[in-house]
Amino acid sequence: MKRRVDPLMPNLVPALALGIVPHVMDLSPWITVCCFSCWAYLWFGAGRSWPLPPRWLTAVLAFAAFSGIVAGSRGTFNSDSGIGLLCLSAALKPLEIKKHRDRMITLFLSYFMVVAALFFSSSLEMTVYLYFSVIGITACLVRVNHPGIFHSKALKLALTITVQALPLSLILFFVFPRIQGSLWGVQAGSGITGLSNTLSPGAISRLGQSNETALRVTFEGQAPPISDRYFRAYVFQNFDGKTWRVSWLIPQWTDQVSGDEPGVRCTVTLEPHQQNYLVVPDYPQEAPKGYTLAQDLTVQSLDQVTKTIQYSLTFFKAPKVSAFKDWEAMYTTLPSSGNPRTHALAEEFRKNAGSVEDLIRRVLDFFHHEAFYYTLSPPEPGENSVDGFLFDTRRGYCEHYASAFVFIMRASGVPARVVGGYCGGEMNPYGGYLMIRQKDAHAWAEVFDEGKGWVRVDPTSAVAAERVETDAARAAAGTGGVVRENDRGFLGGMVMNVRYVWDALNHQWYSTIIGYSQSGQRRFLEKLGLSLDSAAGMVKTLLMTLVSMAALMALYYLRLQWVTEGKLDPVRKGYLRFLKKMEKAGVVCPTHLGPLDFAEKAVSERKDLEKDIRGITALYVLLRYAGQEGDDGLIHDFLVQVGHFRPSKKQEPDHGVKPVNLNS
Amino acid sequence: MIEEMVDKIANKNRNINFPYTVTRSSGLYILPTRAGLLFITVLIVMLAGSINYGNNLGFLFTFLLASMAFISLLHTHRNLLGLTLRSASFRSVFAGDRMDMQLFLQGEGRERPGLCFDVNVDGEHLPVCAPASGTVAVPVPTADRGNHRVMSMTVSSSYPFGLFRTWTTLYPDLTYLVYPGSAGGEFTPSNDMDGADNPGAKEQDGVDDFKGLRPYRPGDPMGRLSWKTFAQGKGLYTKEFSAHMGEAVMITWDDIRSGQTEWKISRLCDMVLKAHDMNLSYGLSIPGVLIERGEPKDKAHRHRCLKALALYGKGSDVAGRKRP
Repeated sequence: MKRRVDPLMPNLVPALALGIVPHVMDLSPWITVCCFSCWAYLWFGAGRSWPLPPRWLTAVLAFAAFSGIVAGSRGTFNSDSGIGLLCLSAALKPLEIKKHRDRMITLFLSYFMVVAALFFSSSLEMTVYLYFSVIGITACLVRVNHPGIFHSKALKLALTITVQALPLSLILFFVFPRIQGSLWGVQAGSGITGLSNTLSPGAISRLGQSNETALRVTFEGQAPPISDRYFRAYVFQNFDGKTWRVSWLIPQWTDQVSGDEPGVRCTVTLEPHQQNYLVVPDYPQEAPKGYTLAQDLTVQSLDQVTKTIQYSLTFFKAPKVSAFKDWEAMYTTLPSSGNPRTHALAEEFRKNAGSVEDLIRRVLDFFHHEAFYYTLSPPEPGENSVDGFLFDTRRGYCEHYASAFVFIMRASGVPARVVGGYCGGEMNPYGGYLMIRQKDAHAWAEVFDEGKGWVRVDPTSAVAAERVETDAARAAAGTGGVVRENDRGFLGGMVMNVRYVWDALNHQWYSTIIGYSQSGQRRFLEKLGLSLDSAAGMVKTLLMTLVSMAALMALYYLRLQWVTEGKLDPVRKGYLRFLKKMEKAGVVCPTHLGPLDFAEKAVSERKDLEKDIRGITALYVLLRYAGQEGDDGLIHDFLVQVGHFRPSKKQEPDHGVKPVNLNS
Repeated sequence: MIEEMVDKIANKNRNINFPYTVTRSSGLYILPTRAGLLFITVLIVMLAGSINYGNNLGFLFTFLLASMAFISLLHTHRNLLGLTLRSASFRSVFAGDRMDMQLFLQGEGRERPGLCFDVNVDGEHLPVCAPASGTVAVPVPTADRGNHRVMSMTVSSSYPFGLFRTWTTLYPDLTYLVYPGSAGGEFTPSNDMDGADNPGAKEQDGVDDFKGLRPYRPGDPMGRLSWKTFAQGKGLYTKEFSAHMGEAVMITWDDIRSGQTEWKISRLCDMVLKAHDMNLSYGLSIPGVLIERGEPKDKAHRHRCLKALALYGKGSDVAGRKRP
């Protein structure tokens, strides 16, 4: 028998197309072309009963597709090849549909493609799209099972069920035990990289003006003042004359850092940056659970941060003063040669300065009074980068200033280090958190002062405000991270507000759904008086879950009942009541009988009820067919009459015609 | 198979009467279909993936799909609940002709898409799906004459997703009658019925007006053989008589002389139909059954005769059970 394109194909192809859309960007173009050409053939061939390719050809195609994937992946079977394989099977599976089961499998493949997409993107937009594609695929599922149902009805049904399923799935989502310590979002495919672990003031600016959010910080209680919003990522120890590098030889803290004032608790949501550091507010008290805190107060992660992560920690304004430790000698070294002019300048500062504090002030004054400019596109400083910057170009951004400042400090014999991180940020008025963007990246210095410990110095802020060329620097200079509404005009303000709302939604999304972790679950359940820690707690949680789900189901069930009953108009309902009463009295109305015919039949069987039957029928016909539909008085009369109609049980049982009395 | 076992245990829905409304106590079962089991497997794979990669969105969507399947169960269940089978009717036909069981359904104000019936007649399963509530015609087997019994009727639905199937099995007390097939031939009712014990005998005059001879065919009654011509060596002939309108005849078992029982019954059936069409007052006498002559053109009488033929030799238990 010649195999033909399945006539139900127009219900399957949209589901498949919905499933592939989120993958198109990641797929090799030939796979997409393959899928869509197969589906186009099936789509157009369904009504025309075009032939399907013979079985051997399908097998050859499948083999070719698989080989293509293997060749494309160059031997490493990664997630992209997995998705390719999934999409290709979705392309080829419909070519061999024979039975209903095959159609169902095709639809399940569509669902599978949707869920697979969640492993590649966890953004709110994508999730909303995928939710709608689930609705679409479900409508296809209804149509495939019941081709007689209208598209609109199938879609409405799919929508209803999907919306009703949402609360149930959220209950399951929050209660289902999480085993991992913390759950992250998904791998960021975009490859945004945060701060680099090297800092070369001579190199071209790579931070640019990216508006991407780098991290969001929610403070428990008062947010720190704008001048204290420093978030550290790296501390650079080693300078080779051009580049500052991070040393990995920093000892770890074994216990908590203590501070002079009580700390503030905060939660950080860090976007993926493909590196090993965590961004923490200055100064962290301890590392978040699962990470390590180095003695230079940076937090490291064993794995690269490839997903959005969330962590909580306590920080305070200043750590307790500690003595200079032996390992910190590395903060005094400089390359033995190079930058002679800076060395000379440092020597001069050292001679004149009475104390470390005085020295710092003098250097900052130097930046302030000399013609230093802040710019994001500085010229090349030349072979001796520090000399070139300090004496020739005098143009640069935070890295140049921090680098030159630390160089001068070390050259003057004072331990100093460059700190890389973020500074400033905007308070999101809708989410109540601090948004820090990539463009808020900053570098500053820390100087060791006997009796004070490590002191933060931001040399960039010393640049005179009139010589600053950008917002970011103004923020760094302490004039305020939040740009005031009136600076932007009405439209700008609107755009800003939309951005705030969108970012707040995203933040909420990440912190409640994407970042839902074992600890988050514990906190959530605790609020409800439940736990998963003991057997009894588990049983209680399970019971509560079942009870709440059953309650929801009961609610839906009642609603279903109510909707169908509510849909009938009172007149129809009244007539149905009348029919029920007649049925009890022994007169059954076959579906094909109209009200007048039924009245005749009923009267012939129950002469004693003639008056009532004729009366009710006449009113019903009047209300239904005679243009008196809206007459409330008549409706009332009709309903009253039906209500008062109490026929006695059948008097002469033999006269009735049993509907099921066949030929005997 | 499982359904039948379950229902046997429940022993519900026996001898139901129409109109019958499916209620919660009707034994309304619901189980995943094969596609539903496959879907559950897919969900388990998705859940395993979500746990493995710690993907919260994976969890969310897996649970969303699971909840949707779960909610679809309500819709599936409700698609049968409250469904009323108003009546089931048959119109008797002759063996071999098409016969439909007409089921009248009422949906209690709701559409009932995707209803399927599996009617078991004498052990033979007849599946049919209805597009919506209203009338469903289930073609039933009519190969054999006699009473046929609808042993069970399974109403099922997998609306809306095809992931779950709900069903209830009813055992209605339903029989239908298939008349014997009629085999064409001569109309040769016997003329030797004596009128002594037959009140209609006086009307029988003129039944046996001699018409002529025709060659003998197997089954012709011995009494009609023309022994005279046979003795003359001209071969075996049968005397033919013309029956006139309004005449009274008796159709008897012996009118058909030869052939198997079924053949005889088919021939007698044909004669009954002819007698009816010719407006005769006819009676039927077959072993064990004597139906006296009735009024001409009486359909009920015809039915009685055909029914007697249909049930001949089939045992009277089925036939005699449901006499009003």
